[in-house]
Amino acid sequence: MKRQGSASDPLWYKDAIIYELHVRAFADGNNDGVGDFQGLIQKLDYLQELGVTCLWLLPFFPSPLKDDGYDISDYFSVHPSYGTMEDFQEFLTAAHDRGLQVIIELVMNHTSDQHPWFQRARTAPPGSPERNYYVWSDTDQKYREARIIFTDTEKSNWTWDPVAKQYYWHRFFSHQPDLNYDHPQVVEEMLTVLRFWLDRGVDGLRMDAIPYLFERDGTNCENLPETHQLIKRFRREMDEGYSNRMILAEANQWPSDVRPYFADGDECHMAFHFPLMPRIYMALRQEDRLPITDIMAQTPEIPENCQWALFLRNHDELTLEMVTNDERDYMYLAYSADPRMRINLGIRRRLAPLMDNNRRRIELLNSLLLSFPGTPIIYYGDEIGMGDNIYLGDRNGVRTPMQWNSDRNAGFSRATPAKLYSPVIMDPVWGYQAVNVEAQQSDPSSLLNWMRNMIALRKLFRVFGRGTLEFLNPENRKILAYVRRWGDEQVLCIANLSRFAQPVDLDLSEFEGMAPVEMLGYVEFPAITRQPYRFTLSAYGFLWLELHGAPQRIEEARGSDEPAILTIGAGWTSLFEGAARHRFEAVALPEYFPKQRWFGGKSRTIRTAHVMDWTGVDRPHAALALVEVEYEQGPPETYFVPIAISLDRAADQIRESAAGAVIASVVTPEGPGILHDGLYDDEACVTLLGLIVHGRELGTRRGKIRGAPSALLAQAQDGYVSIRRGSGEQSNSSIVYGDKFILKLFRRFQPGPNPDSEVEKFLTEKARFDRVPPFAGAIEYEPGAPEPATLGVLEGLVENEGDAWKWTVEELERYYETNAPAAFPPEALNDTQDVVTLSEQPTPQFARDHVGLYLESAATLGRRTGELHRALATGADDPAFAPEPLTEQNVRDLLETWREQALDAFRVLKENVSRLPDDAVDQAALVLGRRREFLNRLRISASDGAQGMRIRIHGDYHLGQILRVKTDYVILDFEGEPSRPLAERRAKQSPLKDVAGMLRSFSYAAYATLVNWSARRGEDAARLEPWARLWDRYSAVEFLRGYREATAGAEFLPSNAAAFRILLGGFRLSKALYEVLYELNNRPSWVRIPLMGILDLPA
Amino acid sequence: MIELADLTAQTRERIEEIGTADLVLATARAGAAELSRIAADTREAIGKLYSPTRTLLIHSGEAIPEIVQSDSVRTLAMPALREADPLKAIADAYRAVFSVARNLNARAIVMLVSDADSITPQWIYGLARPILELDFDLVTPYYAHAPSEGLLNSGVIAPFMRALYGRRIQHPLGPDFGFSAKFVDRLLNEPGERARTRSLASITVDAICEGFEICQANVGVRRYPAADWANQSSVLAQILGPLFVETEYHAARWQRIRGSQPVSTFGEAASGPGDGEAIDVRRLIDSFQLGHRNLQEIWSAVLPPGTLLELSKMAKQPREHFHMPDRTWARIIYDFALGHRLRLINPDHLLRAMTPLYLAWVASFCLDAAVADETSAARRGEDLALAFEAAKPYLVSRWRWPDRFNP
Repeated sequence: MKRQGSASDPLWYKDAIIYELHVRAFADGNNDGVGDFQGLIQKLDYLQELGVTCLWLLPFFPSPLKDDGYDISDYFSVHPSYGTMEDFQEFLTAAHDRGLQVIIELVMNHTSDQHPWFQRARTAPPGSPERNYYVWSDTDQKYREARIIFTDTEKSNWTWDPVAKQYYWHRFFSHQPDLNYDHPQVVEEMLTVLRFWLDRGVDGLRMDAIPYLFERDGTNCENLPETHQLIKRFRREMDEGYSNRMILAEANQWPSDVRPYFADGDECHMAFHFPLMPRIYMALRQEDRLPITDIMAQTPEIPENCQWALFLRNHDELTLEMVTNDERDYMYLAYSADPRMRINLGIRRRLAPLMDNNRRRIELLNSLLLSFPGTPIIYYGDEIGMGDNIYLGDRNGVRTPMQWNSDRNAGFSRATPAKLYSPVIMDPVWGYQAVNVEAQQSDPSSLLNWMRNMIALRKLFRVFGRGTLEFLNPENRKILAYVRRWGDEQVLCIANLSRFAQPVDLDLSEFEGMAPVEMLGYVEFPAITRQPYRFTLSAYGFLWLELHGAPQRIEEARGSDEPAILTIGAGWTSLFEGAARHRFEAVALPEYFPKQRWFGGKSRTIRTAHVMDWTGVDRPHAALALVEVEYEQGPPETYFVPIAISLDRAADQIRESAAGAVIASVVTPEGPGILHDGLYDDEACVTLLGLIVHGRELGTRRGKIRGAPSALLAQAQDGYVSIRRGSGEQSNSSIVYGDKFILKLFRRFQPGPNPDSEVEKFLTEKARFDRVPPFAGAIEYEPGAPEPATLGVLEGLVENEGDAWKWTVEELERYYETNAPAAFPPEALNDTQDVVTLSEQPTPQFARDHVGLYLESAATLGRRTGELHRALATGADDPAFAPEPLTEQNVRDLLETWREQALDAFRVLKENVSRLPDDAVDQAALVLGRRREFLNRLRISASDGAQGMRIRIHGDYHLGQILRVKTDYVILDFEGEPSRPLAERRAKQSPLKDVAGMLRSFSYAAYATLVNWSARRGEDAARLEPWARLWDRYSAVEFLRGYREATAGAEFLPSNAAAFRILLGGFRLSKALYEVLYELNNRPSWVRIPLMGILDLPA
Repeated sequence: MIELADLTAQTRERIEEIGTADLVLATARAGAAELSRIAADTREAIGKLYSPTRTLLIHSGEAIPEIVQSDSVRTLAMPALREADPLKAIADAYRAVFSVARNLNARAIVMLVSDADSITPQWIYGLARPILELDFDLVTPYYAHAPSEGLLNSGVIAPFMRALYGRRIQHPLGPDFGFSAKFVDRLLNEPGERARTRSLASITVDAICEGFEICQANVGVRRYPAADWANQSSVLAQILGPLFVETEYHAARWQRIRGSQPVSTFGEAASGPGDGEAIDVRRLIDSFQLGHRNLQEIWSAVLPPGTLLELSKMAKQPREHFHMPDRTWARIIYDFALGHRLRLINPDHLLRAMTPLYLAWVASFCLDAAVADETSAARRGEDLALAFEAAKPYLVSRWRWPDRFNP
């Protein structure tokens, strides 16, 4: 029966703590002197308590045991000394019950020469399928480029077999003949082995010695393409038949050679990082981080679902294959004074003896093991600091019995000592009486307890298993410092590789405002500032610090408005392309932007800024720049930034009158001054106007900026007597030239024509519509892209009495003042018809009596709006303006957009409902409760075909966009919603979107004025609400009346009244839901206004 | 574990006959009179919902009382519900109710566990509506009760869970809850041992940790059975044990949460039923003093010397001045949570050894003149919750490095 693996997360191995053990060496359950599965089962509680999550068992299969079990003679059974298959299955179940995963060995490169396959092969005829299970040759001269791995014992990779009368190939010991994977039956045999163990429920397979599976002439017979194809086949077999299992590759190679074993995440899940291990020891001994940072720099990125396996020590020698000759000699001298400690190309010692039993060094190395990117593997016994026995042969000195207590045989077995598979360690320093689990369990300060705590701590933070690594480069090379990041987890690790205390200054400025919290004790350190952060570490000390809290806004963190200081040379080049650039981009601009009203990224955290393109203008100290702002999250934005430098008194004046316009203090060859918004330099402003008037061009680094005058401008080129700066704009800046022109600069740069400029130009020059400010010219940027981008538009200045919003609010105040003491007209109480229907009927007398003159103004505004739409629909010969049918697909897209916006608004409303002011909670609950009904209202028959046409519209139409000019209106700002993409803002849409926008604006005016009124006269608030509704309704009715008169017969509107009503209703609801979102994010106390608007909408 | 297939053929036929339901309510009540009243309350509650709501009332009666049948509220008998012990675990019966609900494609499931006398239409409406109309995933109850009632919740569970998981939920262990189909799916689909031993504590904690949307509903006055102050040990062990198990399970999560946030609360708050039972403070203090003499060995294994010294001083305080500071109480709870994790002694013994300390806190709470009425008790509860939040770094540091050598 196929059993499940135990893990539920497919990436479980990334968070694992692996414990490597040999069944033979761990615990003897039947007291025969050899460890076994029953003994191991008894020790599972210990392992669970230690906190490891995965057990890696060394080979436990039947074997002559000439290579510690890596010489397998039967792949489908358990070595009788260790127990039975039933014992294994019992162990596996018990481990899984404790949440422990189990990895076993898949030794696929070779078998024992005692394996039946080999015995059969040597007697089979040459060339027969049985013979070809292994690699045979009549000569020992093939594959000469392949190196010999066990140099101490083997002289050749070929051994003569007197029975077969041929040489057989072996990369390891001569008693381990290599299997021949060019033979399909061998592949099938090994797949059967893989399935056999996965069927039993093991969670992972460590594939032993996989670089050596194939042999090819003219190669070193390592890492061949055929090898990768074969492993991928094994992986496919695993993925198709089993879930949440894992392959761990043993490939003792350079990182770049190991990388292909991960392939595209479809070969091995994990691979050992062999070269890192000796370099950790080297760095420690040399008291220099370079060996570690150097090898990590050579470590390539691996696929997201892959992982490095890290270890300090294992069952083999501390391998020095992956170091240079000099490094190997150094390591021998440093860590193996006695030649008996050396074997092959390595050192056969355990962790604690390598560290001269120095507790601090052991802890330091474990801290690196547990905090480096990868999954740590702990070799059995190293958690208690077990020693080794260099007098035992091969690598048996590091494979001695686990030391459980100070009883006979270290508590490993109750057999007579002579029967033990290996003597226990008995010397005074490392002997089991001094070093054992029981003693350390009862010692709160033991290495075992320390390890347990560290493992538990690591398990709390997924960043260690899954996060990225970034080294810091402090001057003191005895300090290794690195940052691990994963999601919102950020951990700073600092290790002192020296035997003496060390100071270190770390540049943590990117974490400015965050608080490091020491992770072991949860101790908060002082907040990080822009200054270098100083730590002092004791000998071999280490710190793990969680970085808490989002970086504060820069101005808050600095606690001062003092701008950054830049030192710049002569000319702009030194700022934009010279030494000052880095500070300008990384410090000055990120501080400057958030203070600007026109900056749209205030709610986001700026990472840095880059000057994309720039040019100097006539005046030596002014320039125009396009700056890309990068944020911590989300896409970047580009802004148009005119800048100038002022010195002396001019600088002081700007500091005093417009401190927010200062980008940085500067030190120039001419003296100190300020770098500031170029619009605060009158000469620069004149230059900008001149650019348009004269149609001039300025070459930039990547293209050009040019002025484009209109015919109107050509008629009026003089009289620019004074320069004023506008202050109220949200997304642009304006300069007023005398009483003639206003230049609007669009700060947020988007490629393509700005609709404000484009529409005004069309209305002025083509449609001859006179209720907009006359278009006078533009500043355009041509970076070589297909369409120029608009940086600014110059308009004729319109004499006016202020905007319609302000005027309406004043009217409303008078209205409330007048009606506060009056009785509400009873006929208005039963007035439930929708505004479209009402606009088709005569205005009732009670509305005329109470709302008065404003009704006429609303009708005028409606007429002007209708005329605007008619004008915008006249551009049949201009593709940007030609009306287009509102197709079924358009309607479907519109409905989809509305629905998404609505769902979003309902979600945010629900999340915030408990934080709303009391008077809004009821409305919120009512709206949420009727949410399905509202969603249903956003359904319009797409196949109706009677929805009118799409034309260019205003796009952001409300009372604030209208100027009151005597008793009439001028319509402004065709820019659309500046935060939306340009393509969206230039898109043709149903004109009813503008109509709905204005109806919502009436509603806002009515209720916002009432809110302010109530602040002064709270006692009248509730009574005046019906009056607000009355005003809102009849202003809307008259507006619609005027609009429909002006557009009678227009094709761009729905063809019948019902369709008109439904489409307009959809736009109104959609707009009100958008307002809900806006208010929740910006002014929760106003959210009641759109909520009431939604509830007032006709069903 | 009861799955749908384990139900009687009659029950399964009945489920098939019912076909679908929007709302499934389950109650362990069996009596016809109680059921009739609950069914009537249910009809009234669903009448207030925006859309017509097909409702199934699952009860533990042996037979379906005809009296409660109606078009809008149908019934299903499931005797296994009677065996559900909500204090201990979401037992098999809960899973069975969830399975039935899933089979009927129910959008909301409401478990009614409190005394039938407490349940009102508002109770049912409050637990069901946020699921059905506002897309919440879990509705926890906000009960009104006397200051002297529900003290284990207000003195330990609520402030402990608020500090750890960062959500201000008044009665996180319910036991009356509203569930969304999405959350029930999550509970039913969980494999392994945790699903089999799921506790009430784990419901709210999992919902928080896995990002399900939670709100609470003012359901009205809950009538608590009179506390047996002489026998609190088993209650403590039964309730705090699972709570501390969750603490261990979600350690990686709660250690990253700082401060706390309110959750949406629906419905009008009701007033509690007045004074509640009188508590004999003298006996509670006697119990504490007895525990102080006899349980030093266990307390010493769990509590640091500073706390032990404070307890020694408290044991000598005259009754009229008896007082346990909030900070001390919060740290004691945290130390016992840690002791539970470290398995210093048998968990059951450990929690029972906490009983005299809990009684001391109750005595201190009752003697506090500030909790004379409901409003001041709420303020007092907020102070305690803030003390738990303030002491949370203490828990985190001890949890991460549980060295006994500490102040």
